[in-house]
Amino acid sequence: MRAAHPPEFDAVYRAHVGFVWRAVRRFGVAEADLEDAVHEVFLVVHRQLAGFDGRAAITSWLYAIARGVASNRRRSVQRRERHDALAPEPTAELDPAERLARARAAEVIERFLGGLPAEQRLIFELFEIEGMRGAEIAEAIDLNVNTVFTRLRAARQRFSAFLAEHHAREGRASDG
Amino acid sequence: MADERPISGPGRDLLAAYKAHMGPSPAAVERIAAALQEDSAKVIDLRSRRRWIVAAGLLLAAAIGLLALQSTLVPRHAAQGDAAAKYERAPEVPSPVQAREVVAPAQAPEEVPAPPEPAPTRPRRDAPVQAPQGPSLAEEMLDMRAAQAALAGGATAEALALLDAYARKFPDGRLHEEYLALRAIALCTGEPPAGQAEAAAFLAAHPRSVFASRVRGACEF
Repeated sequence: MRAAHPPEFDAVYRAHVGFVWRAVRRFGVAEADLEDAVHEVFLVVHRQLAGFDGRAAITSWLYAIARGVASNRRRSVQRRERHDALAPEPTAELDPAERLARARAAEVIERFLGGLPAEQRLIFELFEIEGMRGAEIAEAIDLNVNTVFTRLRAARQRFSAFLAEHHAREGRASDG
Repeated sequence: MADERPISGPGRDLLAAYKAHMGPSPAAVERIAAALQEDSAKVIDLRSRRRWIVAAGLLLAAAIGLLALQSTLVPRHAAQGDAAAKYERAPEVPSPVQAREVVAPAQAPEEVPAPPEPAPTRPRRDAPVQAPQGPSLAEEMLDMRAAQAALAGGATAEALALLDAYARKFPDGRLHEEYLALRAIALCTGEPPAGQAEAAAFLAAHPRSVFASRVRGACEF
């Protein structure tokens, strides 16, 4: 069944550019190549949006496109290596204190995610960071929805334990 | 369902910070948006050129028709005898299908002469769009969209012709996967036995393609 009105391209871009950016990054696209990869994803979106039938959630659809683009890019290693020579752009829009706070928070989460099994990590990221629903994740990564929730519960338990330990360590550091 | 509620509390702030940190900078968002707008402008420009080509075709057809009409109307007054037969022959205006052939994708837009009269008075963009060096993705998109539109309109044979033209024009096209998917769908729509093999080959080569479900649906896999 086709959606009555396919969403407007600009609205899709603005709403999901961050999601796509992080998705291609998860798929292993190099930092310096992210901008090109996201551009390419949205070129595909642009030409296919009119045919987007709305049966899948748009995030699942975008995720599949991002996976395809990232996969193609991995094949063209030489081109990416040329781009890798460029330094990633600093986030100049933020003031230094905010940038530092954000980087520290990101480091904490990165540490947590780094300790998760790959599938748990992916599901946790898609659910808790990207805001996808269980059924959307199941569709995007081709997994049974019950398995998605089982993995998510396990990751959440680990996150609670990780946070408790993190805060305890922070408390000890500030006391000492 | 409790599972569908995201984590709350102090962990949420950390996750939000991580999300922002791993996302694009506002400048990158705007740069990509600008690049996409530029790509879109190219496509629109190509489309408008094709519209002009169609308009030119129709204009020429109308002119030919008018001349033919005049040439039959004049003798009609002069010699009433065979006027009716001549008048019947007069409207030799090509059908819309014939006119559309003017814009067959195999034809490079640059090779088609500009419409004779009137010259377009629409304001042009400041920087005229140059013909891309080598085939651009925008050109490929345009041709693929034409095939998609034909398929969506039920013109399976036309869709297949457009897809064949695409394959000839872009032997190393970046939309090869889309081409294969649409071809399988078109074949299944027109001739199910032919399309089954195409669909099976496509699904084997691209099992996780975004077009896989459409191919399966069209070819009843």
